[in-house]
Amino acid sequence: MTHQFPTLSEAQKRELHETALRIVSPGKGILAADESVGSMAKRLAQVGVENTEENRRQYRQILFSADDRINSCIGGVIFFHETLYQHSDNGVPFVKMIRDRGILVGVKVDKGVVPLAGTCGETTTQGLDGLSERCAQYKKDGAVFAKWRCVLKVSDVNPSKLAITENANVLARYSSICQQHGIVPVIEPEILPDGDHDLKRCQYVTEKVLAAVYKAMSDHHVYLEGTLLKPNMVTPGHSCSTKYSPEEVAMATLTALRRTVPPAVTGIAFLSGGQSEEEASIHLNAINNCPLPKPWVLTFSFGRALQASALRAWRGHKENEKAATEQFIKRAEVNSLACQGKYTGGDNYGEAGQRIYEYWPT
Amino acid sequence: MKGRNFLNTCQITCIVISLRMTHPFPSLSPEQKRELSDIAQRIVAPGKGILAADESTGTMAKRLQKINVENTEENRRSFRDILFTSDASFSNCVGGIIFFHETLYQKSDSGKLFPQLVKEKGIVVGIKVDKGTAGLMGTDGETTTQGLDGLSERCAQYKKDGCDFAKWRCVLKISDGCPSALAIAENANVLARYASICQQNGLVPIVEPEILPDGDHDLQRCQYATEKVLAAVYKALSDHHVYLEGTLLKPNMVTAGHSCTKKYTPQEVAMATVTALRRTVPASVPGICFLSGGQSEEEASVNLNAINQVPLHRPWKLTFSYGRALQASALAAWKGKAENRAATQQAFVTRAKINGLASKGEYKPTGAAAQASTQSLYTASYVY
Repeated sequence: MTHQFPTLSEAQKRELHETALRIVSPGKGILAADESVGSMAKRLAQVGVENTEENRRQYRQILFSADDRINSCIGGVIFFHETLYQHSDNGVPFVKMIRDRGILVGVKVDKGVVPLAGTCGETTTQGLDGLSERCAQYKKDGAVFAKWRCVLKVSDVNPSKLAITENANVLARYSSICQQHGIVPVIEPEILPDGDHDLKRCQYVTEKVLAAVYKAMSDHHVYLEGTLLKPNMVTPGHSCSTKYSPEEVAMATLTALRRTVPPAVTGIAFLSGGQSEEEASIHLNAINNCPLPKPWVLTFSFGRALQASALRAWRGHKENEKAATEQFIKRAEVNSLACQGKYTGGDNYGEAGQRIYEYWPT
Repeated sequence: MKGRNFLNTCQITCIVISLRMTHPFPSLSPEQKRELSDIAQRIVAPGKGILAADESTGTMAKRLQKINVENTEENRRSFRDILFTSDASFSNCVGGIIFFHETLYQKSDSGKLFPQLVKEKGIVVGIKVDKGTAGLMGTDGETTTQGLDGLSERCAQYKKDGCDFAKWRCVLKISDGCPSALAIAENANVLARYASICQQNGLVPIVEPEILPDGDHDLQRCQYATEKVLAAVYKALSDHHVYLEGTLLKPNMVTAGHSCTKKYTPQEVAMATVTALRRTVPASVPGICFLSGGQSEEEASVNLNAINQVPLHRPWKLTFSYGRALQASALAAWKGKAENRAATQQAFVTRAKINGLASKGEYKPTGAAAQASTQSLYTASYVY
């Protein structure tokens, strides 16, 4: 088992590594615009817009027609399959619009969660069938990175050993297949914030999950320098009665990552989960200011936390498009500062100046 | 009906508890963690490494035989005494010394117990706690390491007797079918058990999964095997809830097998080594202290220096935990004679200082190395 059989050539490795580096270049993060049709239904319902293909196209156009200000804030955009083949009003393919400004195109390749029998409501994620052929096609169609989301949850009995190993394994299979086609896999083992567990519990679970993920990556011979991680930040459950400062969230998050994510991983781009736009930015900023050494880039891969205001500004009305785009640009710029630890603004940020990071003895 | 419901509740509770694997049960208090972390940081303070002076009686026999010195307890004591009483400056390069059990209870010529002598110089005292390798049936000559029985009580006693860290060596080898999945998993597991027990008793565990340089495999093969072994080690440490900030790693450098015909530069060795470590060792591990294996003194220093110059981000300290590579010249100078004391100490301190510089990437070899320094210290199938 310890004979190395060729997985990737030097040239393939170099391409993957360079792609990963470009996505997380200093000051840049990822716009997760890959909401499935079902997820878009929920988003559009919140602003009273019908979930049609045309409305989805128009909405993404609002984001993609942002001006050059986002070029220094967004390193990559994750597309949903449908969007990859849509065009602007002027007939310009969205993929071209994005690539022409030096932003890399990614695509969500998983096919959603399915239940794991015998567990307490846990899931794995499907989408491996024919994935190799799909990746080859996506590469031809302009994608250079991919995303696959696994979901775990915290409860009295969860996540179970099965859920942890099964999801870690499927993430590693997905990663291995992507890399064969020159596609950088973004690895997303999301631990949901649902529940009343405290910060420590989330940290503990995150450490166990990520340790399993990277063991699986090793077992599947995945080239870590050519991957990105998209984890949850370490936060308390939504119904937890204890409140924690951004510094505590940052310290818990960074401690968990330092204990599990090998330094060879090129970058970590956090999901925003259920956080508000401002919350997500403030947390990302605190993470980047945390005094623990950080061997990887720590940036964002936000969906809602980049789009919520834009969506609300739009409400499906053409006359609101520019205002909506402006909202998106604003969040992109804020997060660009946050991923460099330079965000000083914010409504609820309280006093400016130095924040105190207490030693977190966990 | 009531009794039945109660029973069912108990059964359900038992199932719930057994399904739980993601509740943290306290393994260490914050104070214990802080103590372990502080000890580890002191051992690998900038410019410092470890003197591995924990050769067993059997291994000392081989060392002393080479210089025609009888393997008596007094001779062993005497040699360690010479090293430990060297000029105080060596404590600027040595953060920790690993002892063998016998040595922990021996005294210097001055009558002072060795642990006390060493601690007064600001050096942390460590102790080898494993009990050697044992064969794994059904494998091609592979081993695990024994010593877990009563380890907790032994650790508690060692802590009382002045130790703050421990060392446990596992051995793997490269060949057509090795290291096997069993060898990797079993050694990773036993290292994690040892580490867990040490931490309970306030000792920082040095985790040593040595992959021997025996064989004709190339550099890539060694890198591959090292990555697989270390990935398994850190998964096991996670499974056993080991506090990584309070541990140290003592791995082999990534090198070609000793009979490999292709020669590699220190830079190639360094790059392969750092790459393997970056892919497997979490940043929370404070320090990596390389074993010297069969390398000569000079080779071990030059390679360590190159490692500290690799243009890749290295989030842990990268330093030495050398036995032979710190003591070969000293032994050669000593020859068992009291009148050679000063020369012995000078040889030792010279290597200590060189490795101190190498651990910062600041060593500039002058080219004229002493003969003993460049002699290969490799012996086939090295066994303690």
